[in-house]
Amino acid sequence: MSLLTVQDLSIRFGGIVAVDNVSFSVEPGEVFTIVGPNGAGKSTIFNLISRFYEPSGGSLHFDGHDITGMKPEEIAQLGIARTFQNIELFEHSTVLQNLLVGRHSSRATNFLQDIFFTPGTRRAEIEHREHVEEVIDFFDLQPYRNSLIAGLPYGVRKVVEIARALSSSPKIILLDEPASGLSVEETQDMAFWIEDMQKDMGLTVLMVEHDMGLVSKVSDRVLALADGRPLALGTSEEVQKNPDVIEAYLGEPESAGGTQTTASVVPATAASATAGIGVGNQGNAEESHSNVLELNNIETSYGPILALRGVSLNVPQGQIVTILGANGAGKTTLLKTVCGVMDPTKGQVLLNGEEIQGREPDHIVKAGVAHVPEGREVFPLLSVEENLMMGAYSRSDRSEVKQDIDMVMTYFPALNERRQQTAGTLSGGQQQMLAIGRGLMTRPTVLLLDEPSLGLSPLLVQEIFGIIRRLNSEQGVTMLLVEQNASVALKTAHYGYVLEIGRIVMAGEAQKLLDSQDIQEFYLGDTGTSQRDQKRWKRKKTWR
Amino acid sequence: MDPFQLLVGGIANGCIYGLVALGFVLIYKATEAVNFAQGDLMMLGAFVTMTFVNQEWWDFPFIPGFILAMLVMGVFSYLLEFVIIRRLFGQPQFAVVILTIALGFILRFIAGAIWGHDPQSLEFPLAGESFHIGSIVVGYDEAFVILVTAVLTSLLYLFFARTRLGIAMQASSQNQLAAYYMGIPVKRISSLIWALSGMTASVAGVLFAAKGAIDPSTGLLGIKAFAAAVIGGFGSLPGALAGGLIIGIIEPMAQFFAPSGYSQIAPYAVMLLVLILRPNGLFSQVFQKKV
Amino acid sequence: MRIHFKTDYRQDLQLFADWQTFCYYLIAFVAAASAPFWLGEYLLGEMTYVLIWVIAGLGLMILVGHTGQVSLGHGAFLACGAYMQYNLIEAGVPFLIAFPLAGLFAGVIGALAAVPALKMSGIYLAIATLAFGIIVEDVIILLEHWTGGIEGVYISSIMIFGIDFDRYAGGLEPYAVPGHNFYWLCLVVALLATLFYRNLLRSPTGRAFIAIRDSEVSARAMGVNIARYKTLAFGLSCFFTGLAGALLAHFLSAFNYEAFLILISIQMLLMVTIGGLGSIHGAWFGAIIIGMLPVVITIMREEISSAMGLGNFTIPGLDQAVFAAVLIAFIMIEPLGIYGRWLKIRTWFQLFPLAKKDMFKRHKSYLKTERMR
Ligand SMILES: Nc1ncnc2c1ncn2[C@@H]1O[C@H](COP(=O)(O)OP(=O)(O)OP(=O)(O)O)[C@@H](O)[C@H]1O
Ligand SMILES: [Mg+2]
Repeated sequence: MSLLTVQDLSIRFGGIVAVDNVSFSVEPGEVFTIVGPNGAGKSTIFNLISRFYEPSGGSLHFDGHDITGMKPEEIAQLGIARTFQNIELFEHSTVLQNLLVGRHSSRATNFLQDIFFTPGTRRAEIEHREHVEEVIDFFDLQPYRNSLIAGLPYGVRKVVEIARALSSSPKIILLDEPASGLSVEETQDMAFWIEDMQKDMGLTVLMVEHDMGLVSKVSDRVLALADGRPLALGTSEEVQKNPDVIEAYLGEPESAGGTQTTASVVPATAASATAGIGVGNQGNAEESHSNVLELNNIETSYGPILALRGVSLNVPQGQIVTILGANGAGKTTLLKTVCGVMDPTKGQVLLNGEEIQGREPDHIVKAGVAHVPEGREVFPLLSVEENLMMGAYSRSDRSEVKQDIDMVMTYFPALNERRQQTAGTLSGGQQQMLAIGRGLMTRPTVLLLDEPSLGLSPLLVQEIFGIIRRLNSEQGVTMLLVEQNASVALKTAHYGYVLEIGRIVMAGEAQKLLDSQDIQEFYLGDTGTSQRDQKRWKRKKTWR
Repeated sequence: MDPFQLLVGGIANGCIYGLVALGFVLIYKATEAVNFAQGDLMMLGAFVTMTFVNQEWWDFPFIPGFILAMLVMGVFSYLLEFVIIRRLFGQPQFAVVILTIALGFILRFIAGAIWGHDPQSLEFPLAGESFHIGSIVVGYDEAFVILVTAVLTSLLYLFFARTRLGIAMQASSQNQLAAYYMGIPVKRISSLIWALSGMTASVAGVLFAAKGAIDPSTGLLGIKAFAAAVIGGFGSLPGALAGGLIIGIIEPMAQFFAPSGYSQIAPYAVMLLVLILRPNGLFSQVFQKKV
Repeated sequence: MRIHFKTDYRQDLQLFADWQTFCYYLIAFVAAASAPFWLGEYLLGEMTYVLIWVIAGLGLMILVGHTGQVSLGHGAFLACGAYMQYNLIEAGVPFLIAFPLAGLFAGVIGALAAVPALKMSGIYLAIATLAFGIIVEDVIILLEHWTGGIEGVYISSIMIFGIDFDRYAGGLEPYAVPGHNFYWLCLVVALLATLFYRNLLRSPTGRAFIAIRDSEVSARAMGVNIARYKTLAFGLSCFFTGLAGALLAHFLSAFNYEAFLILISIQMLLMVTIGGLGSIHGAWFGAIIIGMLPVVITIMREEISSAMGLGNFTIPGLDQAVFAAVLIAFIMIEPLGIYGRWLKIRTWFQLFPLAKKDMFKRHKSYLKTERMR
């Protein structure tokens, strides 16, 4: 008997039918993946299963129970745990406390026992703690046990959220884009974890994911969805061969199946042949290029923690420079320091030769620096159109603003259909499109892109990088690109830096970096073997 | 007494509540902070206008004195934000709440020290004159109040809905970081909205003082204006006015119809009722978070 | 520099992190418990008053600091406790029974008030509770039979097993100032309340509260029944506040509705915020500051005016204005409350001499809307 059965499920928001008569069933012990373009209704299905949304039709059965009429908290008691696309952790608590909340559905004491902290409560607490420690061991979270969530890097938060779901000892775990925003090595860890959950713990996994490499690796069955309707169901290979899926979701056939969708990428022309690869080499500036952006010995800290420890880099006029590095290396901090929302404690930021560190961010934006921030950061209560208008806030050419809005709408037709929708109700990927579009509306001379491909479908990732290259070559926009998808990033960029734990450990032309042994091993995921006992390969990294 | 006559007085009163509520809503809409000193700004505005136009003080003509007072209050509020509130930029809204509560105490003290604690009234040119609609007597002051409120609310509404600056203000309240990324000068916007709110408060103060007397504790009327803003749905300008009208109309009605001792709680009871039925007010702008 | 080496998970369940911490608290306890022996009668009275505010503050902290539900009407629950205590004591119920019942009554009223409050949040909840507080003020006047109306009531003194715990009773006359029994009673209640609170926080109930505060969506996904836990938080919070109200009744001896004006509710909120939201320490610090500040201001004013030969100099509202100015200074220096500052000072000492000034600099921070819930 299937563990979870979804029958003729439908829901509409206003005029839009987000999920339209979807039926599928998940067998015990399998990894079932839902893929589909942004806004296909994947997260909505999750929200329907965890009963945050009321379906307008259809039914849900889990483990012999009809859960269609249940409340979210009852769902958790039945053994359904989930994660969220946009990370919903308890920000002001430690990792440990977050995981302990995960144990809530199996709490054995009432509040009176808790107030008096009876021996029963003590015993239960110790049990909870032991269970949680197992989960911590499983995910290698020991170093973060007592850290506040608010200070953790994105990749770790992602893992903590899965760990929290797992702490509740569920029967099925719903993972909404577990690997989005993770680096290649973290994604590989994720694949191992999912396999372990399935094989060792006997868990059933229902997953939404855009990283087709991960999907092919772990999924038993894949359901492709488009516009709220099922497109194809089968093994990962079958689905990826389906022409409809390719057209709506994957893009070019030859790119399907790989971790990265890079088929259409034309390697950037090498700007200079002289710059070598090596630590501390910052001499990428060719004589003909003046540096638009220059960082000298920047140090930035979060309270007592030094996030950037003396970073120097140059971004020459009209070039794309990419920064690689694991989650928590300080890439986002770097971009934030550039556009002034964080103040460096030491060092200089030069924009066209002028010092800008310590200025109010709006001055820096007016000087031509635009930022597509990590984690979308759209204005949730404004409409899509108003969001785009805000992108053009510092511009004064009204008629061209209108044109630019139309241009963004042609880049992202999904947004065009939703001009008046409030941005907060867009799907994760649609919000990402909006964030990018809003950044383009600024008509920047320097564009800072923080993970532009986060949560986008493979097809859109290709398109986004197409747009980036076009902006660069046609309009000469200088770019500083941070991207977990290192292979695409390096193929797009002219020059690259590798940032680890707040220091630049390597720099060089993109092409050279792409060929480098270390880069291939650590950032492109080319480990040569994918055996489980190779899990610790990342330890070999010499600069850690 | 004629219920319709009560209605006119109620509407005029309600407009004043609405205007004070408008002040709250302006600041809330642009910074999501709640200004507990709004009522005291109103009181201050009334006193400043009084100083300009009353005979025993400077005896300016009414209209220039009124406008001058508005400007003074605008500058004062701007500086208030610039010097004090801004120090808490990016800090939890709770801190701002505490700050404005404390500011209220200080403003009341200052007003008491300058103007004394006895009720005083503003010399309003239209005071005492009235016209008739059928059997109902409408004071020119009441008509003036209603007119000014209607115009001001519509203007502010259009400002927020249509202009780029208005939308930018909303944007910066929703996500300060992203607003900065767009080049919106978030801090300056916050000062501006405080100035605007101070000017609105000054208008409310004048209208209030035109109909009755003021003293330093007049600002406590702000609590009723809170109720008004909440009924309307904090963050909605027309809502603030609607809420103000509801409170304004209910008050005289309750005094007239309800037994004494119960009448003064009527506005609050109505507010609770509205919130129980619609937890986010009548014109709410709260959304279920999408996950 | 001090480092905790933990060898057992159980260590995280202990009340005190290590014996050193325990010693600090022990010293503080001894100092507090011996106060009647070294303080004057006036100051002991003020200390008693502070302790009552500590209890009320702990109550409010559960709700505001740990469950994230704002209440601007907690004075109402203080009143519930006080008047219930009065009615029970006057009906001849012994103190040891009447006292918890008074708290329970306030708790039940609080839980009932939570039902309509469940769907509200943020400013709506704040103003709704404010309105509730105002309505209760008037209801007190209307329920003359129970509350003595505008005139108010006079409550008999506390007798426990024949010992007089009255506010002005003094048994150890030459050694300790009068009022020590009542002071000790308040101290014991405050410590018990703190202990219960601490227990709550290290067990599932407290974690569920915090989960609701930080993210209702994921709390629900983890199986936390929001309605039930919010009601529970209201109930517990009002229970503690009700206990404080009962003690306040005895402290004031004679009181009417004016003891529970909306200003008191606002002052309670000031207390927990100034102290530091989301920490037990914060409730203590806040009560001490807000309770002692007026005393300090009065003394200072008298000192200054006598030094300048002004006699008994007063301007109406001056004390309040100074009070407000000090609050503004506090909140500008430390928006996260005194507890935040306390943590910094402690870290500085723990790291000594390694701490750098930069470590404690406030860095730029940005807010996001709370209208999406
Ligand atoms: N609360 C809502 N109100 C209005 N529209 C909504 C709401 N929630 C979702 N939608 C719409 O429903 C559609 C499906 O959204 P959903 O979040 O399920 O997409 P998704 O498949 O998860 O996409 P992504 O890969 O980008 O995360 C989108 O077009 C979205 O705009
Ligand atoms: Mg989604």
